[in-house]
Amino acid sequence: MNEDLYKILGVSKKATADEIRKSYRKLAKKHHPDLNPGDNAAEEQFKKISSAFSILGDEEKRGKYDRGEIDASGQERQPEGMYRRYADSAAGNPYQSQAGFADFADLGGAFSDLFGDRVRRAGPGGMPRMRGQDVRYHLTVDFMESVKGAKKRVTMPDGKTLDISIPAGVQDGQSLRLKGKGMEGLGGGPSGDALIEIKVMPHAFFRREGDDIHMDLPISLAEAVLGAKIKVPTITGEVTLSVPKNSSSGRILRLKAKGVPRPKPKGQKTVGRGDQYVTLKVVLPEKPDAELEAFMKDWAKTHTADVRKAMKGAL
Amino acid sequence: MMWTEAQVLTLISDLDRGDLHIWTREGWVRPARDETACVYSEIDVARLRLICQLRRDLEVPEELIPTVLSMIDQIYGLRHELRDLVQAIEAQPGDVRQNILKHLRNRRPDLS
Repeated sequence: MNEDLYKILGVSKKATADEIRKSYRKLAKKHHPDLNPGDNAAEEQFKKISSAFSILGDEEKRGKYDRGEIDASGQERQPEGMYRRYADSAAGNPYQSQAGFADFADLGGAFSDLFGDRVRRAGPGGMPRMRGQDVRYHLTVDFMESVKGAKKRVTMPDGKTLDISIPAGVQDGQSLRLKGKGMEGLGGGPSGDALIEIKVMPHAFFRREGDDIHMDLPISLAEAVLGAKIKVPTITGEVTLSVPKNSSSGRILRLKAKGVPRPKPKGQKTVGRGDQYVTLKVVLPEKPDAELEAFMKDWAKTHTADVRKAMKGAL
Repeated sequence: MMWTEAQVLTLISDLDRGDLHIWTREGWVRPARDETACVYSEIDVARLRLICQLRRDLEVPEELIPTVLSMIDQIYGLRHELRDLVQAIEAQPGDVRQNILKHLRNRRPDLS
């Protein structure tokens, strides 16, 4: 793009800084995309205007542009983070208001079914009943809190405190809605909701997949060969895991019902749990071990089975 | 992506801490909260930029900004609702769609 920036702003090359600013403001008012939400041409025009002004409105840059040291495109700057991009998303935005069609609830028929519950209605005495504002929270919980549940205390915008119980088994990125725990309504309107987005910090060795917990368990060579009973951490405490003798690295053992509690199905009393899966990792001595090497040299002479024979057919 | 108050202030150069506090208190911008402070999402930051633009470039007087924001919020609310309604109409069988269009054209002769 190498258009004449003066033309874009509708001013002459001799315009004073003040004239440029005035013209820019006049055009910006007309074309601001958030005042013309459906109009993509307005957005394009606004981008041109604001990038032209970002040069001509700055004395130093204007001088460079006049002397040909920079061109219009070199300095084109996307107005960052245009509000409309977020406000007009298909999922809606937290600021959008239903005041523009609140009275549709009184139209009768389909519209009152459709809008009746969702918009504010006039209360007794004609005072507008307004639903209270929703309040959004972002809470970070550690892994153990996420699987066991936790209580968090937050401060609401009006300074009150709110205690939030985070249910056991909450997932990273999950949203909770506490009905009526937002700001109070006006004129007898219902309170808004508290919307809580949960972030779960990763654990040092537990990983979660659905309701199951996965972990790697280092075992010694002797334990792998001879088998062992090993104390293993689970989210509810230590349990003893039997490692069968002759277990290879990568072998996965299951600890039944040691995973994350599942949300209680409606009408049922018992809460199910996922499982814990333990992947064995054989760990050799930290430093080369002469005794082990001597034994292995001897052992290998008579044990020549090919451990990679399964790969051969595949190549 | 979430930003703290300090990050927002470096992100938007012509926003100062005092304004940010007032605008948040007045509900012009309604950031989420964590256990100790406000956290700003992308739409909150874009909305703060919009308010700065309204004030500086569009010369909207401070006392009119809530009115302008309210109008903008209503328009996006209406657009969202209208989009849902159009999608609901598009999901109907052809003859239902035709009937709706016919009805709209009858009410709006300028459209046909």
